[in-house]
Formats: sequence, C-alpha cells, structure tokens
Amino acid sequence: MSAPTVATLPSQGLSGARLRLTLVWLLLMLLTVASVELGAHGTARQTLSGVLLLALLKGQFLVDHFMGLRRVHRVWRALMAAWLATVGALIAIAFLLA
Amino acid sequence: MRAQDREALPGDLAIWIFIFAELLVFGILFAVYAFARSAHVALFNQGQALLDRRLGLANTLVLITSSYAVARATEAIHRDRVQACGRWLLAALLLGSLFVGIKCHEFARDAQAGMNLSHDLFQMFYLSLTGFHFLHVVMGMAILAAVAAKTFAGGYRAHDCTGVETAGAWWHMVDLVWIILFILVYVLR
Amino acid sequence: MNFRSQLVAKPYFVAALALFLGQILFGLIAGFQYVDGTFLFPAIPFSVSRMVHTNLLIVWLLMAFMGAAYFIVPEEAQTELYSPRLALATFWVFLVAGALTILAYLLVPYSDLAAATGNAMLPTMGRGYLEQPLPTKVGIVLVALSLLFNISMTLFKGRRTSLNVILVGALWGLALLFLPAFYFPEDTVKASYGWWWVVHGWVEGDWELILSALLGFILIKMTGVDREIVEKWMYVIIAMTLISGIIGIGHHYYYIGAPEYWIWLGSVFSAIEPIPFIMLIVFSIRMLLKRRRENPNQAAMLWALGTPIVAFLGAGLWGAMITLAPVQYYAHGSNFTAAHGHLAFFGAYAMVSLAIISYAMPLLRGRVANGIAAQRWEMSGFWIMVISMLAIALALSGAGIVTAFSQRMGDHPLSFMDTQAQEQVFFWLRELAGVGFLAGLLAYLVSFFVPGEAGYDAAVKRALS
Ligand code: HEM
Ligand code: HEM
Ligand SMILES: [Fe+2]
Repeated sequence: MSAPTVATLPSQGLSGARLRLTLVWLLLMLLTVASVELGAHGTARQTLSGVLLLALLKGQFLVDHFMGLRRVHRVWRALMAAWLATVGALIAIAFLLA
Repeated sequence: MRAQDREALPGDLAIWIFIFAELLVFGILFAVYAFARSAHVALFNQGQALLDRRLGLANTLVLITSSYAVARATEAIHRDRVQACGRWLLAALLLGSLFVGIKCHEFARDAQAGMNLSHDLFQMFYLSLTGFHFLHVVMGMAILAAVAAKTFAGGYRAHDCTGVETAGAWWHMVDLVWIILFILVYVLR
Repeated sequence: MNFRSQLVAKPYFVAALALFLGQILFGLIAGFQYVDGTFLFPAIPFSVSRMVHTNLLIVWLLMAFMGAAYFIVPEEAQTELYSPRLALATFWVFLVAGALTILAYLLVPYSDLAAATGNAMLPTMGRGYLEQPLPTKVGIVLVALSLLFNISMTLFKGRRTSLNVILVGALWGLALLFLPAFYFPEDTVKASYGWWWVVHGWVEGDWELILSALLGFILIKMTGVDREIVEKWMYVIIAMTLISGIIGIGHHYYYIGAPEYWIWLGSVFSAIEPIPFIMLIVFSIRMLLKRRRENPNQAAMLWALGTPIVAFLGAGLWGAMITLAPVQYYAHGSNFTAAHGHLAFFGAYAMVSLAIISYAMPLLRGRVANGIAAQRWEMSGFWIMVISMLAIALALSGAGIVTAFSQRMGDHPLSFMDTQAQEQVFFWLRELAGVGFLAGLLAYLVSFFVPGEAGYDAAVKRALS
C-alpha cells in the first residue's frame, strides 16, 4: 500500500510531525499521573467521571496521533471513538449501579 | 479535510480487522469485569487493596513511552530514515521488556500474597485480564523484534513500510487497551 | 497439477467420498431408530449405528485432509513428494485398518471388542468419537507419523511458503492433539478434560488452521490474488482462532467439577470464537472480488465460498447460542448441541474437504475443470446438501428447544421419554431432510461419472464450431 505519507503531505512540516508526537507523548504522561492522583483522592463513585474521561481522552489522543487515524478516512476514527465511548459508557453504568 | 486528501489506512486491512476483533474481546472483558464488580463491590475493593498502584502507574508510563517510540519509528521510516526507524523500534522493544520485567515482578508479588484464579472473583479477573494482556505484550514484542530486524536489514523504505505500520498499529492497540485496563483495575476503587 | 507424485492424493479422495457415503447411510439408520426404536434391533443397535456414523465421519475427514496434504505440499514446495510409495502404502494401511474397525463395531459386541484388544491394559475406549480400540488408535498415530514424515521432508527439500508451513504445522498439531485420547483416567473430570482436549482442540483450534490453509490454497490458485495478501489474512485468522479457542475450551468445563472460574473464562472467550469464522467470510469474499482471472471450475469456487458461510452458521452462530454458561445449563447435551455439531462439522470440515476435492480431482484426472454438465450435477449436489443440512439443523434445534423447556425448566418437568415423544415430529423432519441429504450426495457423486471437460481446449473447440 503506497499511500501518500505524512512526510509527503504539504501541510505537514517535518519537524512539525515530530514535535506533535512529542507533545502528545508528554500530554499522555501528564494525564496518566493526573488520573492516578485524582483516583487516589476519593472513592470510585466520586472520581469515576474524571478518571474515566481522562482515560478516554488519552485513548483518543493515542488513536489520532500515534495510530495516525487522524488523517485517515473518517470511518476508522469513528469506529475507534465508538469503541472508546461504548466501553466508557458500560463501565460508567456498571459503576453507577454498584 | 476532503475525502481525497485523506490517507490510506496505515498498515494492512487484515490487521485492522484483527485489531477491532481484539478491541471487541477486551471490551467484553472490561464490561464483564465492571458488572461483576458492581455486584461485589466490597470484595473487589478488598482485592484491589492488595495491588500496588505505583507498579501499575510505572507500567502505564512505560507502555505509553514505548508507544511513542513506535510512533517515532513510523514517522522516521516515512522520511526514509532507516537507521532512525530501527533505533526507535529498539527503544520500543527495550521499554516493552521493562514492562514485562515490572509485570513479572508484580506477578511474583501477587503469588507471594497467595493470589490465585480460584481464590475469589476479583483475583480471577485481575489475573486473567492482566495475564491475557501480558500475552499480547509478549506477542507484540516478537512482532516488533522481527520488524526491527528487517528494518536494519534494509527491508523497508518510505514507499514500502506496511510492515512497520502494521506492527505499530498492533502495538498501539496493546497500549490503548492497557490505558483502560489500568484505571479499571488499579485506579478506580 | 505439476508433479506426478501428487497423484497419490487421488485414492485418498476417492476413499474419503466412499466413506462419506457410508457415514450418511448409518446416519439415516440412526435417525430412523429415533422414530422407530426397534429398527434393525438387535443386529445394529442405536449405539452402534451412531458410533459407526461418527467414526466414519472422522475417518473420511482425515482421509480428505491427508489427500489434501499430499496434493498441496508438493505443489507449494515446488518439488516431488519425498516418497510417493510410502504415501500409497500408508493409504492402504489406513483404509484396511479403518474398514476392519468398522466391521468389528458391526460384528462384535463393543465390550468383547474392548476385551479382545487390550483395553484392560491401557483403557482408551468409550468416549465419543474416540471409541476406536487400542490397535486402531496406535495405527492412527503411525499413519499420521508416516504422513508427517513424508510431507515434512518434502517441505524441507523444497520452497518453504508460509501456507505450506502453516499446513504442515497444523497437521503436526492434529497428531499431537490426538495423544490425550490415550489418557483415560478413572476420575471422570480428568477423563472429560482429556476428551475435550482432543475434540475441542481439534475442531475449534487446530482444524481451523487446516481449514484456513486449504481455503487459502484454493483461493490463491483460483483467483490469482497475490500470495502475500492471502497469507496475511491467514495469519490474523489463525491468531484470532488461537486467542479465542484455547481459553474457549472452558465452555466445556462449566458444570463438570472444574474450578468455577471457567464459567467466566469459558463464556467470554468462547463467545468470541465466531470472529475467526466471520474473518474467513470477509477474506474469501474479498479475494473473490479481487480476482485476477476467471477459473473454469465454477463448482470449486462455489464450495470455497460456501464453506466459510455455512461454517460460520454452524460453528459461529449455532455454537455461540449454547456457549454461555447460563444457556448451557439448560441446553447441554440436548439435540440443540447435535444441531450445532451437524451444521458445524458439515459446514467447516466436510465442505472444505469437498472444496479441495472439487478443485483437485479434475486436475488429478488430467483436465483443468469438469465439463459444464458435470459441474451442473456437482452444483446441484452442493445446494441440495446445504439446504438439507440446514433443515436437519433446524429440526434438531426444535427438538433441543423442546427438551430445554419441557424437560429442564418449569415446576412440572416432563420425563425424558415423554419429552422424546413430544419431539417425534422433529425427528421425522430430520430423517426426511437426511434423505434429502443423501439425494444431494448422490447427485454430487454422479458428477464424477459425467464425461467431458471444460477449459481452454473445450472453449477453443466451442468457439471454432
Ligand atoms: C467447526 C467448528 C466446530 C465444530 C465442528 C463443532 C462441533 C461440536 C460438536 C460435535 C459438539 C458436541 C460434542 C458432544 O458432546 O458430542 C460440540 C459442542 C459444543 N460446541 Fe462446537 N463445534 C465447532 C465450533 C464451535 C464454536 C465456534 C462454538 C462457540 C461459539 C462452539 C460451542 C460449542 C459448545 C458450547 C458445545 C457444548 C454443548 C453442550 O454442552 O452440549 N462450537 N461442538
Ligand atoms: C455431512 C453430514 C453429517 C455430519 C457432518 C454429521 C455429524 C454428526 C455428528 C458430529 C454427530 C454427533 C453429534 C452429537 O451427538 O452431538 C452425529 C450424530 C448423529 N447424526 Fe449425523 N452427521 C451428518 C449427516 C447426518 C444425516 C444425513 C443423518 C440422518 C438423518 C444424521 C443422523 C445422525 C444421528 C441420528 C446422530 C445421533 C445423534 C444422537 O446421538 O442423539 N447425520 N452426526
Ligand atoms: Fe468447544
């Protein structure tokens, strides 16, 4: 499959791509620590929405930038987002039922 | 972005179908875990108290970084930087081994604490979920190793790097799943 | 066909079809005994007709797999078979041993057969599908070793394609997974473990690899699609098979005395076992759409496309319906299971065998494809058999549902025999559909005797006349 690659796309500066990946990586690390901190300061009930949202956000960042689905046909990104949303919703329902 | 500006899927269609199948599997496991917990909150809390959150956190950071390395490797090969791609893949592999090391240490700790599949529902879920994910990490490392070897042998070029993209897609999936698994098992209690 | 030694596949295929016919005849006898319990008693009691039916099934499928291996491995390796004579000798050993075993089932009471063949020394007899007396079981292992030796040597001396490695590896797995058949402890839980390692390990693990290898081979040959694409699909299908199937074995451990966690693990992992079957469908259809040439053997194409679809229905859909622990609590061992077993075995393994036979036999008989008339017979056979098998599965499902509701639920459950009486109509329907199946099989067999060939010569002749 010889698709036009990131590098060949005019809108994509070379250093831009690397900078973007690095920023996303730092952000993911930060969000991870934040979610642990948040989770440590309350019961699952209290922190559920925050922790879950942070995780889903991380997931979508990973999908968009690391997996590179940001620039691919929308269906794939939507499928991933749907997976994240479904899993998140099921977890939320289960935890609220508890 | 207009449709024709969009890129083709990185990697093979077959691997993406596989990735979605895997996500479905893990999705089912997560949902089953969450609903089982809702019926046995006390038991799960008690079980989660046996876990060391710091180990889980360390492994999350390791895996995310490893995923970043693979993303850089893919970016490098797109610019035809074969050596850089190979080095980033090696870095990802090293981080993968670190994950495996930490997880093995944790499993040993769990065994010492007397955890096993039959003890209670939480331990069953915790061990089989993380164990199943562990197998994925090991399998992903095998794939990364093969792709890294082929990269150094000059097997990939910017216009012919499906192998790198495919391995990368799989490795990111393993990371994605861990992100959810981590909060479910270690954080939310 | 490019290598002379591939010709040894022919006797294997012919014998497979003959044994298939035998299987169906005994299925019809067993089916009639369901509606008339004294039919053929005491000459052939139900236990014997059932055992002959299922054992013939296993033997003919093994015959077909072996024939396929002797056909495919040299072709893929681009070299002659290591030893065609060994392959031929093995064929006769297997056929004679199989025939003697079936005769012994029919002529000697099972307990006497057990006593005469050393079952007291090393007990192995009695579990379903694995009823063979000890000498036959040892014979199966030896035959398998001969096959493995032969094809492995061929693989090593020739071109090593991924497809070939997968096929040979899966055949090794088939032999290794047969070994628990020799493990039959007194402890019924452990005995069940051993039995399922063979049965589940075969049909929901190793044989699925053989299935994808055979389908992959046929599709490469018939569509001309790049080997690399086909092999990539095979890898992910195999990975998914193993991920789901290995732990999925837990769906047989629910209430037999195994640890309780199997209720969870078995339910979750077996629930995803349909995925590889869905992937097989997507794979075959995509390869068909990407095809680079039209193959004159339309019948083989029909089998190759039908296989993943019916396999998905039988294994994926019908299997999934009874795989969750709470459902199996009521459905276990009922005719619903038999419906699943029939449709799955037929759709996956009988059909893929017929597909490879359909592809290979014309080549082995020196033509590209059979003539139009023969293909018409064959395709009619396809449709009649598939539709009849669906009808059998539906009838058995009806009976299974009645069992679950009347005999196993509610405050006043019926007795076993009263429930059976209620289900008579389904058993009649099954028998009727079974006759239909036999008709389809006969139509299929007729196709081998219709002369004429298709292909370039025939097309040229037609164009010139
Ligand atoms: C081609 C593949 C398959 C074949 C040939 C096959 C065949 C069979 C057969 C013959 C049995 C009955 C065993 C006996 O008790 O005598 C059986 C049982 C069973 N199969 Fe399959 N099977 C296949 C795939 C599957 C799949 C994919 C699933 C799950 C999704 C499944 C679920 C089950 C379950 C749950 C039982 C036990 C039913 C009970 O407890 O009575 N099978 N299978
Ligand atoms: C390719 C076609 C066929 C295949 C693959 C096949 C396969 C099987 C299998 C796997 C079993 C064991 C199932 C179990 O007990 O769970 C079985 C049993 C049986 N089959 Fe078939 N069969 C085929 C055709 C037929 C036909 C045409 C008939 C006749 C109507 C038939 C009648 C029976 C009967 C009566 C049993 C015994 C069921 C019992 O023990 O309750 N089969 N067959
Ligand atoms: Fe099974």
